[in-house]
Amino acid sequence: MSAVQRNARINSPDLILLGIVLFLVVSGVLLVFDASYPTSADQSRYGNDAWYFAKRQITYAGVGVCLMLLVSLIPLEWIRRLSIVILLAAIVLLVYVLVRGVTINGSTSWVRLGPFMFQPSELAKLAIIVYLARALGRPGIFSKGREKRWLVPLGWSGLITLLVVAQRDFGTAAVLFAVMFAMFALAGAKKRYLVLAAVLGIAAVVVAMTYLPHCRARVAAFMDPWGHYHHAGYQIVHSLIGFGTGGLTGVGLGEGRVKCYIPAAYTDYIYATLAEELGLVGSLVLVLLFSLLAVLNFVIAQKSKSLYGALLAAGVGSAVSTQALINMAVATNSIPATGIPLPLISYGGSSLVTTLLGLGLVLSVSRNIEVEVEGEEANEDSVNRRRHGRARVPSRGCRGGFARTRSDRRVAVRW
Amino acid sequence: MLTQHEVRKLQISRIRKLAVVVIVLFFVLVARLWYLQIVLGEELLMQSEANRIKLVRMRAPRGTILDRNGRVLATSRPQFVVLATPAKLRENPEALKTLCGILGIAPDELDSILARRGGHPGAPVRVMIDAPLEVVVRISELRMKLPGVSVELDQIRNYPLGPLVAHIVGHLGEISKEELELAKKGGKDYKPGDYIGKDGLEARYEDLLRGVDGGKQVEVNALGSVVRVLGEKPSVPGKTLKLTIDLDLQIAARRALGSQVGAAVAVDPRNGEVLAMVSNPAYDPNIFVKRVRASDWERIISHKGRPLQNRCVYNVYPPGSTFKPVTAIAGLKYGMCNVGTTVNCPGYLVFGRRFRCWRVHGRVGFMKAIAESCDVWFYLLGHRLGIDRLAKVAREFGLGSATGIDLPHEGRRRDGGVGTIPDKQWKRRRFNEPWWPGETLNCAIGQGYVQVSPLQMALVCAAVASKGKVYRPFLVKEVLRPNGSVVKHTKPEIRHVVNAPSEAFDLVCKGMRLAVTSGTGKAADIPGVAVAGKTGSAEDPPRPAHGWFICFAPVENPRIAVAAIVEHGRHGATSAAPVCRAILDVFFGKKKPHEIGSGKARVRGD
Repeated sequence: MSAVQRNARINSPDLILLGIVLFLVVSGVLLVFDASYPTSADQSRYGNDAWYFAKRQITYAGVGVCLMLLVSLIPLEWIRRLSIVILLAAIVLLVYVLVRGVTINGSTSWVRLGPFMFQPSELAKLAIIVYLARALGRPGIFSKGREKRWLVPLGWSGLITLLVVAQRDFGTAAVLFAVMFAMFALAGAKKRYLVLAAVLGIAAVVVAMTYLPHCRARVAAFMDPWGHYHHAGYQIVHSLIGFGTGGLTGVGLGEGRVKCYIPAAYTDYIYATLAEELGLVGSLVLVLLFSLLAVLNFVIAQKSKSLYGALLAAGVGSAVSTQALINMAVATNSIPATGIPLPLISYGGSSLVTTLLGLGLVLSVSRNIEVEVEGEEANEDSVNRRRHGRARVPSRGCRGGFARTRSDRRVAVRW
Repeated sequence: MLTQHEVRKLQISRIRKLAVVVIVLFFVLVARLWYLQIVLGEELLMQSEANRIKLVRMRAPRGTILDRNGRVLATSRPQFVVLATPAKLRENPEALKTLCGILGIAPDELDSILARRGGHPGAPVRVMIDAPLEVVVRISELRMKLPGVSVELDQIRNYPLGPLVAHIVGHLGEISKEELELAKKGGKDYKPGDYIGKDGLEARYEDLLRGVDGGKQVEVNALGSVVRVLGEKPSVPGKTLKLTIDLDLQIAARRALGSQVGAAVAVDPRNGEVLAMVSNPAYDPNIFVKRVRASDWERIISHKGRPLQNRCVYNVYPPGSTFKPVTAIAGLKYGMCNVGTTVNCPGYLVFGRRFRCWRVHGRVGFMKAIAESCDVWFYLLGHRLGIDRLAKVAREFGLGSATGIDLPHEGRRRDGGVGTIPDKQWKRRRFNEPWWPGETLNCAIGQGYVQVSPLQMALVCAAVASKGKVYRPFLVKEVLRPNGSVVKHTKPEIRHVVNAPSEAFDLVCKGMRLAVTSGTGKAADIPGVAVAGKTGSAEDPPRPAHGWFICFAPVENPRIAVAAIVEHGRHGATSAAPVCRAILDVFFGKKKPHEIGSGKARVRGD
């Protein structure tokens, strides 16, 4: 009996998702090499080594994929318990970066961890997702008179967002906002609050664009990149030239030239190189892959029987897709420029490893699609349960007992 | 109050809504991609072509400068040039050190070279010109360690004879900011780092010598190296200048001058061609083409002899007794003297004060006055003439005004003149004082206010030889295309005519001939050639007098007129006359130029 049950509960991870992720990571490594070799071969600070960035990206990808697989194998409950620790770690690092951050390329968003440089804002995404999944993954948090239940998580995640804003990393802040919005919406927040949040978010963007001088410069460059060629418009112009040169089928892999003009060719503007070398076909395939990734995440979220799992999957899904959308929109000059890497593709260890960790969580959710994480346990005769025709099974030994008592207590709540 | 079923339903519907929003956004992106890559594609591709296709300027070879017999005085030869982009090099101290090591120069010297130019910031600077092969090889080997450093083959000006013709040919140098602005105003195509003629013929004939730069449209690959040539506009090489200068005479004059400070000019009295023009000391124009080393510059600037100055054209001296033929012609013209005019020379003339003669001549007639250079005879003639009539004739000889030679900056003075021929009006204007008759006496023997350049003196001599015709002197005989066909042939041009009877010239010529055969100028007496000459010693107190000599030959049919001055050479007969003689010796084939010896030190670099 127990063997059968186990088979029923623990699926193999979503192989299509895994396949897409691995495909993206491998293409990312190739693209990083492709877009970075003119720079690294030319500059002695990279040892004139054409493989400088590619080698590092391969290492990050190896570490990231291993961690992803590892995370996908461990029980979600562990993550759930760790989420507060992750949140606190993220806050500490975000404060630390404000105080003693390392400046690279003009932005102070790095901390030194031993021999590694690390971007806490990348960890912030993960922290918000796991924390909100835990905090919102309980039933009835949006009940009347219990506003504290959702105001506290909102407060913590809001704090993290503000810390990221303090680094002037508005791109990541926008991603965090999108993640929060998606997770609150999924958890069942009232429509009027969601509308209010959306309005406030848009207002914040408008205010920043109107009043912050460095944002205004970027808006001006967005409106007329050629007019600001020698300042903020330079990368945009060359990125657009890359897209135009690519045409339908591209100039061929490795043949592109925009990477010689754009300093961030292998990070924020890697999409321009792809579009130039593989044309509309290549750029559309990437869009397709990212939409597929988003859809798969949302399908897993929808299928997941536990609200916790659903929130995790939807959180990661919205984070990855928002980031991809913003990056691609910047590269195509559809929105004002903001420095954000293309997930899984752009060069950068922090981004790659945290994104893979997040996707590891989603894979874990996909494995445990049938399992309800205990904290959100509803009463025995829930409609849900009956509809699926399966009895609720405690996940492991005595824990079920604990869970039941907790959930029993929760049933008393009127909702 | 929601049941769990309803909660679940809400969840599912919200996930779907989120998914739809994301998908819609991705579709918007797809539309944008379509617009950029397909609709705008062509337009953006054009911009990319602009990146990919570069225009490379091809410097036109600068025209050659030849002497009258076709010997090369200035040419362009291919040399390796080391270029460095200062901004790129500066951010890499290691590379700076390596480059210093290869070039063998001190870091602060390299620094000053890099800081020298005000072109646009990314433009490379010539760090070394005429780099030896081992430097080229070393730089190529260490290319990776030397960002912004490159080696190119460029046509670099070369003056094979160095100092010998420096004052005539002049030199090139990198264009200055002011020259660049001036050229831009004139609509000429100069760029920072271009070479431009700075002095001499290089400056005067800049437009002819330079040619027109060509261009090459090339396709470059991602790393900026040329993949293929798309189009080419050939450059038009500069014109060749064939000079009137005879290199042999030039060598002879320089060797004869030796280490003495002075100048010598030889012209053809029949047309004004300048056969030789030497100013001593000279400089090596090649050092201006390479970057001028601080030490070289220091040496040139601090040299007492001012080697940059072309003394033949730009320096003026009192002519001393070489002016006497002019006075004599004026006297004959106005009837103030004739061949029989005789005075007694006791060694001085009292005219308010004592006006000295250089020795006691006793009875002096016309011929003896010129041959023996008797001052008293000319004092009295000058007194009879009066300054205004003397000045009028002197001006007819072209004295006091620019000669019109084809060198830049002649007659920089406000009135465009060169030297001074005083008269009453001049004195009033200049000093606001009346003319004193005693001053006329001084002027009559070429002292006082009279000042002339050696070139003017050569023309005076030529005018005496050609019976009053003063030609415009010129250096460029022909302008040729590189293939040798003639573009322009300079025609002789008479600038002044001396209105005096031809007998007057005959008499003066006879006197000057006598000076060489039996008078003061015996040093210039060449067997078999009828040379006529006149010595001069121009007082320049408190230092020794300048030695002058003017001569022409042969008397019957003059083909060459020479003027030479040796600064503070005391007597023209001993200092300047041997220089003229050396030129005549070579001109008439009596000696080879290398046989000319100099009593003094040898010419540097000769």
